[in-house]
Amino acid sequence: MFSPELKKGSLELVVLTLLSEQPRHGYDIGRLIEARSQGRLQFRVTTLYPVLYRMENQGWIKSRWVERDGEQRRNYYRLTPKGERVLVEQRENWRAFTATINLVIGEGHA
Amino acid sequence: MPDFTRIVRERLVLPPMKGRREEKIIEEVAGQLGDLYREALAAGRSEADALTHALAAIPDWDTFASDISVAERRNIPAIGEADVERVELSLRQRGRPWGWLADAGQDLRYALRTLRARPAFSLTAVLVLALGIGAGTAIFGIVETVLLRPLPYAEPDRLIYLLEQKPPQFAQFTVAPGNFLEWQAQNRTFESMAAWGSGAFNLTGSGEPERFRGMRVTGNVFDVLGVRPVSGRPFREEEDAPGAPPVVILSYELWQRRFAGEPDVVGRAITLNGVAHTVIGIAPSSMQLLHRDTALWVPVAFTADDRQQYGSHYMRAVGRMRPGVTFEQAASDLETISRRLEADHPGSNKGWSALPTPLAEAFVSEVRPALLMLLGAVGLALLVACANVANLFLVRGLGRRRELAIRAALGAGRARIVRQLLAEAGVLALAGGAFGLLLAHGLLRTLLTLVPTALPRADEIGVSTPAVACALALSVLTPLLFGLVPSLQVSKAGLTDALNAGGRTGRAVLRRRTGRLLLVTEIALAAILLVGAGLLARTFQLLLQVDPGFVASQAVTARFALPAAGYPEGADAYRFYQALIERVSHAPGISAVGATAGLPFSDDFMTSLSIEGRPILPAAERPSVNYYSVSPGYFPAMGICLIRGRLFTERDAPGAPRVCLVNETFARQYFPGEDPLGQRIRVDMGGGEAWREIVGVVAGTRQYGL
Repeated sequence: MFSPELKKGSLELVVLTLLSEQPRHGYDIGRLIEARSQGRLQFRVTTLYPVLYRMENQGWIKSRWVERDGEQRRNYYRLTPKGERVLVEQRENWRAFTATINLVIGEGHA
Repeated sequence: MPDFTRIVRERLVLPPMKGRREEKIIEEVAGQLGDLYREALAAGRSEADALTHALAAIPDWDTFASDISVAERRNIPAIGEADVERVELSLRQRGRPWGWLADAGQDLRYALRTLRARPAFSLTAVLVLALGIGAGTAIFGIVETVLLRPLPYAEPDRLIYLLEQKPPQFAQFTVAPGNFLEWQAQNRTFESMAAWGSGAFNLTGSGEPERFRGMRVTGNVFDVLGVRPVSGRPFREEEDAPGAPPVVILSYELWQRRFAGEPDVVGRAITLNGVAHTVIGIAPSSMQLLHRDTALWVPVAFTADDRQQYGSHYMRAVGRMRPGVTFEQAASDLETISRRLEADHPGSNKGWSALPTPLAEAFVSEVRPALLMLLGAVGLALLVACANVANLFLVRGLGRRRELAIRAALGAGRARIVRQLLAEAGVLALAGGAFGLLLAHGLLRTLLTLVPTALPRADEIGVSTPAVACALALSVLTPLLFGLVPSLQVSKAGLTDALNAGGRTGRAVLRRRTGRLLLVTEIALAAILLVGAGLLARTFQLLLQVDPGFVASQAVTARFALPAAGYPEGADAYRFYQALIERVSHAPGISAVGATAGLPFSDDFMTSLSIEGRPILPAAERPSVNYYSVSPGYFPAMGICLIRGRLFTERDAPGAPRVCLVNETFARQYFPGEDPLGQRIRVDMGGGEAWREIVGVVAGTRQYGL
């Protein structure tokens, strides 16, 4: 559907947004992306986890193992204050970027 | 529910990380696969389908691992930190001699996990190596035992095998007792000399009668070889004399088989050829090296007549050189004596001389070229195996270049990466070596059933200590052969190239170049092997086409001898053979029966020849021919065709006019342009033989092999 480059470029923003709502685990994040994009956006496990690990290592998100009765242990990610700042920044960047691209390709002028 | 943690741990090969980071990642990915699995089950899929669905989420584990490695850079110890840790470790372990093992251990663990993650690759490589190492070890086992291991005699380097020769007719020939005794008496370079001739012995009296091959030996043969009987004693000098009470030494094998290894056999009397012999000892199996299938030894006890036999050759001899004497000195000493004997006995000794060979050499001279060729062939096969595995390794290594490049970027030096790859190669080779040893064991057992008689010391061959050492050495050397080049190649590639979306361009060039080199090597080696095998097959095919002059298929032979004690007169033996042939010919499935004194390929009796009506030459100058006594049924039984005249019949019995048959070759050589039928010849077998009329000509047979 979308090119891998385009998807990769937007994955950080998407994940940060989802985590800004509430802490979530990896599987949950993958499923939510698919559901909210109505199936148009899917990320493989092999793409999602390296991005999660990188963001965690950069201090944008933090993970914690949570055990619930009758369920397997899950690693929940939540946004750090640094991550919140990055999200604001990335969201603005994204809007500015898409608006600029739209200007160039002539969308939204008609 | 499948054990996803185990699956992930086996397949996801990550570089060593700080703390429990790696465990955390494995658990998380495993949990994700578990979620996918449950999701598929909930959608109504089967368990197998669900597993496939879950695993499909990670199509390329290597790329996944290297992507994670990039994300985790700060959790992977860089070279500086690793060094600090290593220094700390070595400080902690100061005084312990195996501090360095920690590093090697890490390499090894990582290698094992990497190989486990790719079972198909690992298994293929191990199998290919096992074949190469196994074949190499098996053939080395044979070569080591047959060619390299010292003979099981005291100071074997001083032992010389002695035969006679009369060039150009006889490149090597057995020894006449008179000549042996003269060598023994006149030489100045030998400490001692012994001789032996073969004989047939019938054992009767206790249990089934049995026929053995035995050796009539000079009494000192055990002393010359430096062999001690395993029980009892060797012969005494006085026992090796005519009229002495008969004594016998049994082979270890006969003692075990026939007498169940009973210790009191020594001292007991057994009946050989109708005569009671006292058993005085049991010989170790090393004595059977001189002749396989030797069941016993008796003293030769030369008679006064034997001592004067210079032209009757039927013995073999061995001499022990004095300490410090060289082979050349001994050979020239014997040559001097031979020339003296030639002058003293021109009738029998003209052109004859001693033919000394180092004993070890004499045993193996026939099989050495074949064995060395075989060793070369398996060596080439091993190289082909190495080239194959090197190719596998290269392709596999190129697939891992991103992982390796990341490790390099994180501070692992090239040496460290090469060491890591060599560790993997080493693990493969050791596994290959272990399987190779098992294979060699099986291979040797099979090979030895295929060549039961031709190979000296075959019973000693096995996966011996040197063979194990050989397998181990191959296991250590082969990884250098198949692992080093790919490792250097793979580790050479630059970081950017590798990280560059798979670095396909560089990969392709590299694979093309090294892969092509390996391919060329493989094809060249395989071609050499194929050409060699093709030549062998061609030779074999030609041999199959050679007509031996007789029909070996469907023919069965049995050997026996009549003891002189039971059949004192020639007529007694004649009656026995007549009755035997009569009874065997009525046995079911038998179409023809014959008796002969010797068979083509295995026996040859040479005698000198005189032709009636031509000048009678001195004995030594008469031509030598093969000579066999046969029964009338021999030619039909062997499928030997009659060309002219007639075969023998029952009328050619004792008392009838003496007749003989000659073959085509004989007729052409001695009666060119003449009719051989009706001519009379005389052979000097035993002396005083009568003239015999040639009554027929038969087709020629190959006498000494194809």
